[in-house]
Amino acid sequence: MEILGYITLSLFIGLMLLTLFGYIRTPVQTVLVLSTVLTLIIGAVFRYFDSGWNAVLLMPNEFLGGIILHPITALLTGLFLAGGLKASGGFEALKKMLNYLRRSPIGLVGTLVILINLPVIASLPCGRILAASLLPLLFTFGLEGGMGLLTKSQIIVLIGAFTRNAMGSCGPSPIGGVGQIGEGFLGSFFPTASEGILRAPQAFSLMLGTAVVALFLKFVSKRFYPDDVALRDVPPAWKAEGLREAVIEAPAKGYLALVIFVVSLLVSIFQPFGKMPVQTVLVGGALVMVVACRIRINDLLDGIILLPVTAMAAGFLAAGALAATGGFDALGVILNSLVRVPFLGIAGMLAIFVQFQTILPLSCSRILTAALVPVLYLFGPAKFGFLDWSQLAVVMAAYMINATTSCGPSPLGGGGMMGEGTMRAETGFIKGAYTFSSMAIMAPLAAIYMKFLNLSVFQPSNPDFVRDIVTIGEFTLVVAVANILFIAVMGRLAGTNASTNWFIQLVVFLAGGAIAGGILAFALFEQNFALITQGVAGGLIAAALIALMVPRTLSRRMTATLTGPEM
Amino acid sequence: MDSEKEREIKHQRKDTEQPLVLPGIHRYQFFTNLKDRGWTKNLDRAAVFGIVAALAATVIKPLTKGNPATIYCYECRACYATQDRCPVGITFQAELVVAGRVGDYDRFIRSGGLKCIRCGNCQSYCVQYLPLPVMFAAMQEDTRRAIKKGIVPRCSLESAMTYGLVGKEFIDDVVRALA
Amino acid sequence: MLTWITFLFVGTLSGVLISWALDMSSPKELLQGALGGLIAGFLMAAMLPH
Ligand code: SF4
Ligand code: SF4
Repeated sequence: MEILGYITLSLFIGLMLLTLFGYIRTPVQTVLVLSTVLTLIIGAVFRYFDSGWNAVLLMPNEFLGGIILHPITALLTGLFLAGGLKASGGFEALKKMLNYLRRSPIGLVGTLVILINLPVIASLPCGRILAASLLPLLFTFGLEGGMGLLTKSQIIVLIGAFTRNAMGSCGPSPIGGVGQIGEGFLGSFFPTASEGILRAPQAFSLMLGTAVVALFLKFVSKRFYPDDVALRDVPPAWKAEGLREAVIEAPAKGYLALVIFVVSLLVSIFQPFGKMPVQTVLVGGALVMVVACRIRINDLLDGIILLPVTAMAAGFLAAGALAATGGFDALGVILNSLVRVPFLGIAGMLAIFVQFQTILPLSCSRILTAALVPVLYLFGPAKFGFLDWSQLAVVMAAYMINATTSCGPSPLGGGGMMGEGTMRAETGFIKGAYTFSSMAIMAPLAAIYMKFLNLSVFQPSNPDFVRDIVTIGEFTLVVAVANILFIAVMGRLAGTNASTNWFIQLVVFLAGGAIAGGILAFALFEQNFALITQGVAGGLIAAALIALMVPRTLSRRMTATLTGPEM
Repeated sequence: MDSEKEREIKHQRKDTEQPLVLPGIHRYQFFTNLKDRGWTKNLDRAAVFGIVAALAATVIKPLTKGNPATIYCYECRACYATQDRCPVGITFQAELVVAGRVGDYDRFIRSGGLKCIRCGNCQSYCVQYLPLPVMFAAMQEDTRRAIKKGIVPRCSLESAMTYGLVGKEFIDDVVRALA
Repeated sequence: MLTWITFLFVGTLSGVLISWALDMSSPKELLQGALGGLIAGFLMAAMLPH
């Protein structure tokens, strides 16, 4: 049976790579379903000879178990709400309020900064809820959207950063977020872990990571892929005429819809009426909107876009088929065996493990997290004893933020594609930015935060708070400054030759990955030079794997893939 | 001039010209501009219908099996925090929930579902306070029926016996099935 | 307390960086961005367990 796991795993990864690099030219759903079917057929053959016909008949049940309904329904509710807001004029009301905010002391920039960080503040259990309902609003800031307030490049940064923030916000969510998988495990040693031991490190690194994504998009992505965003710029004449002050009329029911929207968000976050699913609350809100604002159910349904939903579901199917045939077990074994590679050792293996979900980004981070966190847990005192409990907590923090942000860069129906679609960019446009920030910023910072601040909160024995906070500040600044420098240099060096660009990017990724691996090893084992070197080695490998998957060019390949031969 | 032309070709995708890809898909897409390719049209359709059928199955199945609450599970696994508060030492409650949703007997047994005594300790760790013991009970009965019918593969029963994953309420059935 | 400080710090930092990335880098706009980030950091810290 074990060999089956390796076969299906290689099949899956092979198909994904072929799609990524444009050798298979079909929509991602089709590829994923194909992978599912192939995996199931191979699995069935093995099963038949191994344990008979009955076992084969049970396979559909097993692979259906791969479907995680929650993000799918969450996305649908988000789209529902967006439909409601749109139909009742809620977006107009929102624009008007943003106009007021713009004239307040925090100005347009401050407003946008808050807007970008809204997902992590709200921390809903799936980033797609807010993304689906607010991305149309962000789009309106540009020329195509009607307000014409921001230029093309600003819109790219705004939407990219917002989507990054949203597609990481499912991590720190206390109402069913991905991070709770890790918290549950840590609960066996830290008594209060399930109250949110991983939340602060994730939120902390996500906020900084978002900012770095914004910089990366501005300095690098735009230069690497200059022709791959189909937005138009505001003609200069417009600006001069001050068309930006276009009068926005918001009907009263728009404000009402907005209030309902905000209230239902608050109810779903704070759960004042007892625990209930977020979806129920939000759909309830949408129904109240229907009644109070007199919109038709049809308007709600109008907001629904099937494509992202089916892409995500296809990802789950493929993952379910892998799980049913032991593919994930094989993955766990492979990662585990990295410890024995001489120059990697435990620190190097962990540096790769922590980045693993960014190396292989799937449509929802829960797929791999559910399979790999138990493996990580076994590295701790529970089985192998490579790590003690606080080290496990540090690794878990780094792993978790990296994992939860992995649906962002995923071209297989990940959440980032919603952002790319909104900014009318080719698939893969944001991949470099998103993976770089997950790898080089978020993972090491989460580890540092966990090590120096959070552990002492959850295990109050450490008296030296001030020193710790200074350490965190130092590390944050160093990591931020180093990576911003990298990004700036990369932007400077970027030319018109895609291969050179790509090579520069590879070098920068390697540098970022090495630093990340080193910091992770330091957070785990402190000043142990040998282990830090191993961490650097692991970081290098992880970074190379990640950078190799960032597409060299987008237009030629993806346009051809997606828009068909008739052009 | 040439580069100009190339640029134009690259920018042919205009939202106003967006075709309807599949029934129900908005013209104005967030989700990049996927368009049918001639030779894969039917393949794509089959794929999407497959996906939709699978989704429908995951929702309808628990309804018909009398275990509807499993649909609500976020699979956030916050319930793993139960840890040693579970009297029989089940560590992966969410696995049991998912196994119950789709009727995956092997996964249920492997994760210790037949050991559960439905004490309800794990329920207080669920972020939604889902009735975990009720779901587990429903799935246990379902599994019992399946064992009696001989659907559950022998090897999973055998390994369950070896690792002590069968509670005393079920041991008779399992032994009978293995005999 | 320390959580508050770190979050206000990182919020401000990210606010400044984002406003820079948004091509709004006059001192006034940077300050506004920082202010926005400060508010975001404050809200975030308020949502965390203490
Ligand atoms: S209900 Fe079952 S799984 Fe939950 S704590 Fe009790 S014995 Fe364990
Ligand atoms: S805590 Fe509740 S919602 Fe989350 S995985 Fe467990 S049973 Fe499902």
